[in-house]
Amino acid sequence: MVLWMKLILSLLIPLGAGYGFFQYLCRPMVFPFLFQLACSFGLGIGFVAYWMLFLGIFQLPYNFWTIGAPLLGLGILFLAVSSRFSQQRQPISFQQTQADRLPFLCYLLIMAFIWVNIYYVFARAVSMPVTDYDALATIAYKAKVIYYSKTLPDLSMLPHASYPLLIPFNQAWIGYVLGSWSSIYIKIIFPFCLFSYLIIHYYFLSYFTNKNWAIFGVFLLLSSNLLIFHATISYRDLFLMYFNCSTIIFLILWHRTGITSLLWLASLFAGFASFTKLEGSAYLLIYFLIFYFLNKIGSASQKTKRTKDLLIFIGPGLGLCLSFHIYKYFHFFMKNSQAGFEKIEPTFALEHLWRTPQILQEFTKALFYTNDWNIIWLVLLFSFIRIREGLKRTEVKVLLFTVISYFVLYYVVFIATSNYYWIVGEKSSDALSRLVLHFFPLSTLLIVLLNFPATKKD
Amino acid sequence: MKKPLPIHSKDILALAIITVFSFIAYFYLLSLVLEIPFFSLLQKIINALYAPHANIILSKPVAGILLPTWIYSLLLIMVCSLMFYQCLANLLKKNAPALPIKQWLPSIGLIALVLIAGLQQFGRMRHFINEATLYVGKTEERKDSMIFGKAFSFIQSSKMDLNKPLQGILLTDIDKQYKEDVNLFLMAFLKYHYYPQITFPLDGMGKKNFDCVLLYYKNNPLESIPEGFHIHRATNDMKYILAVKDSP
Repeated sequence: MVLWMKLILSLLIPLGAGYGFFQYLCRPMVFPFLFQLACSFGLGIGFVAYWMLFLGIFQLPYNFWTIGAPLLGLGILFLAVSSRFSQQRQPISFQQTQADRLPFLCYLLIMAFIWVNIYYVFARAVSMPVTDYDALATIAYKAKVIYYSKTLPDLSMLPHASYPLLIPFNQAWIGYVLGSWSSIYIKIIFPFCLFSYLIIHYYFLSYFTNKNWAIFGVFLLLSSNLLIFHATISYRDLFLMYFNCSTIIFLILWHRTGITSLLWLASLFAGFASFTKLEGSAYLLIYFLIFYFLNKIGSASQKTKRTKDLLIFIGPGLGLCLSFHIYKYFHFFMKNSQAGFEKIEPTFALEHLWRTPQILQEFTKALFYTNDWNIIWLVLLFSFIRIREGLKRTEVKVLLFTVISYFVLYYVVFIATSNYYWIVGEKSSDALSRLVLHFFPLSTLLIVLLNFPATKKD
Repeated sequence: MKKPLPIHSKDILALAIITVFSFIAYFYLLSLVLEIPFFSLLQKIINALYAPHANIILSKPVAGILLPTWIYSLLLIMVCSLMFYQCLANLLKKNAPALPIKQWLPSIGLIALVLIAGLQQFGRMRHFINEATLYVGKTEERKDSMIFGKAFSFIQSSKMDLNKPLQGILLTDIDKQYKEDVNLFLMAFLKYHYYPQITFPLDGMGKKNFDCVLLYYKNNPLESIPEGFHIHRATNDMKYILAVKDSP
């Protein structure tokens, strides 16, 4: 009983900090409560990680109080400030279009599928210990080292020293709250991450379609085996997916609603994505392209407003991303070590274009010849038959551009770097599907948006 | 609130019935051709649909052919048949299908996806029930020991009597005995579970000053124990030996 209370506390403190900050950030508006919680979870996870990085840079000790108390204080402070605006707040409706009632059996089956899978990920995550390779070798191992070091250890003593530390920091935090190391309970954040993303996914779809199609979108998402499994193991890809896809969603919602808070959220989540996996830093490029496009076609005519939006988006996102890289650079520079730069080996050569058939073959295998995604990618291809109508909508354009951008980005990475050998080449460890997982939910969003019957207004 | 245009729900229902019927008929015919009872084939399909792994959930073959190939073949047959029917109906100008291809093509895909999701769900549930039956009510240590077997029990027993944190090195010939992957995993597993009692530095670091040696799957292990070290703990088959530096 005490253990469960501690476990809940380890989630409630970051959630409270995130919730307080969310209330402050979005003080002119009232978002649906579940949407608030889903965003607060991501904010809280990010705050824990960056606060621990800050403490670690100055070699301050890690314990329940040094991490938890400032976060709780931050949450309460923001909540107190934002409560002064509670009278002037305007509720936001995510239900733009009325939905016909689904046949009861159909509704029951879809809801049963969703809840059974949510139960599955929660039950498995908190019952199975860490057993998978990357978790044992890097993620959970680093978390364990941080937990027992009680401060940020010398990065060069950690495996894959260049990798960002958002997940290990959060797992070490859970350890501090529990008061002991547990290979099982450090995974509690993963099912919550999936659940939070499902909520954001649902509200995005219900904004652009209706309740039925939004629920169906969640169903499509949960039909992916790899996504479900990753919510039960200690890998970083699920969190990158959450931050990455939420950033895209917030950018599109910001464009549609004009609510600046959503731009702040997008920027913060983009920064957190870069602190989850190295790929997150590369994704910033895609976010900036989307932002540039949306800002250009946006309704804001004043140059000052556009510039302000640009600063809001670039400032926190790039700042968060650079903070870890700069720390790493100085850390390894001082130690005269190359450990922090192991992944950066660009080798541009024209002859690498011969890798193209192999890359295409591996992508085809990962998308169509595994059981990772059900037949989602095939259904997306089928749905492209409606692309002409779809492209009249900005959100479809943005999502399509984004999905293509990820494929192009990885194509360039495989052509230009030695990652080719490890991911799609001779030494491949079948990790390509994990990269696809980072943006996989966008395909389900596209399927729903393309198949949603157009309204007269559209 | 905007009201969406009505979709042809009767046509979609008809399409759903056609798709479900086609799936059943296709796999029933397949079971006859392959001479496998229908429910055994269904069982094989469910097994092939959910074999979880952190990197990739591989598609297993059913009757020697990957399951997606079977599914894509069925969908191809369905799409071709419907297109043929639509063309024929348009040519004859009667009974032309109400649903345009823009609607039925994605709908068939989505209905098939729902059917496959249902089958996958059986696989997921079975996987979960199997795990729950094995591990429910067990302690974390017991679960680890059930999953990793002898290696985990050895770690637990060998790190118990260590008085202070040690720096160690790993010595093995496992690469000569098994595939490389086995060692990568085992090394990660040993480093994770021995920490913090024993820290094994990263490859190429700190191999000069060490307080203990962990020998696993080493050929002639006793000969490999450095001078000035004694066996602290070993398994009966000598697959795992922890040797600690003698006290001065």
